[in-house]
Amino acid sequence: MRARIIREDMQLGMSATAYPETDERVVWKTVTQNGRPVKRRFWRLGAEIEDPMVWRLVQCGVAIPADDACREACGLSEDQMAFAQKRYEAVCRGIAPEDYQLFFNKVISGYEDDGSFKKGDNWQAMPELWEEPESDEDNE
Amino acid sequence: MAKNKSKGVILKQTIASTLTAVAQCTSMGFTGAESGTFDSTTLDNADAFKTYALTGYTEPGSFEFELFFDVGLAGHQALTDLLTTPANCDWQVTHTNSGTTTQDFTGTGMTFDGPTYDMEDGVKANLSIKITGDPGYAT
Repeated sequence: MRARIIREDMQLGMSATAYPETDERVVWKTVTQNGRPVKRRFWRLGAEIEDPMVWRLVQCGVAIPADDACREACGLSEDQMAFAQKRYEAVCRGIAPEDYQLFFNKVISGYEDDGSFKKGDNWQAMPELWEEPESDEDNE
Repeated sequence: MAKNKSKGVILKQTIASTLTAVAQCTSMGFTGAESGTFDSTTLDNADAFKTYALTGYTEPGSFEFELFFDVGLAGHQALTDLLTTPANCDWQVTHTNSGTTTQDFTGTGMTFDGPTYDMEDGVKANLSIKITGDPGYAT
């Protein structure tokens, strides 16, 4: 069963020994691990991988079917796949479920280091999210 | 030095050799790591206090997390896949420090409590992953 990876940020697990560095589907990227820069294996965008469980990757929104067996196993329509891909974007950015809609509407793009919202392209649709709360003194 | 927020921490599970983010987690953490010791107390101990010595082994502990469980979500079904088809699995936590440090470890065996249904809460599940080998702490 085969599927094609549709994201550039899909890293291989450290035990994935079936894919050596010579595999053309694998690209090495530098990430921070244990506080130091290290090279880790990622799937090249568009890499076609074969595995009995690749249909799960399609359901999760990180791959598309590359054969009929995968298409049948995942059981998703094109619209459902598109939604899964949109949802994964939120999940992999660590967006809290209650903020999904803000993220989908591009009002926020994530969180700042202090946990506050990071502005998205459409942040002006809800500027109140970045307004300072009124202090008690102002209300008096 | 920084006081990092938990908000934005990401957990990834390996599916088909690919690290894939787990959705809707509400809390997570490492627990139970311990450098092993044995009781080295002897009958001719000089005082009342027991003594211990290092075995040279370290218990890697577990990784526990709670999530709002969605039975229809593929990523959550992938978690219960580990019950129906037990297998070792690579996991990764992406920390929220400015360098977005990742911590990788291999899990073997899982405890899955859930889904739980509570009148005052959403449908949830609690999971505990037994870590085998290096838990990947920054050193």
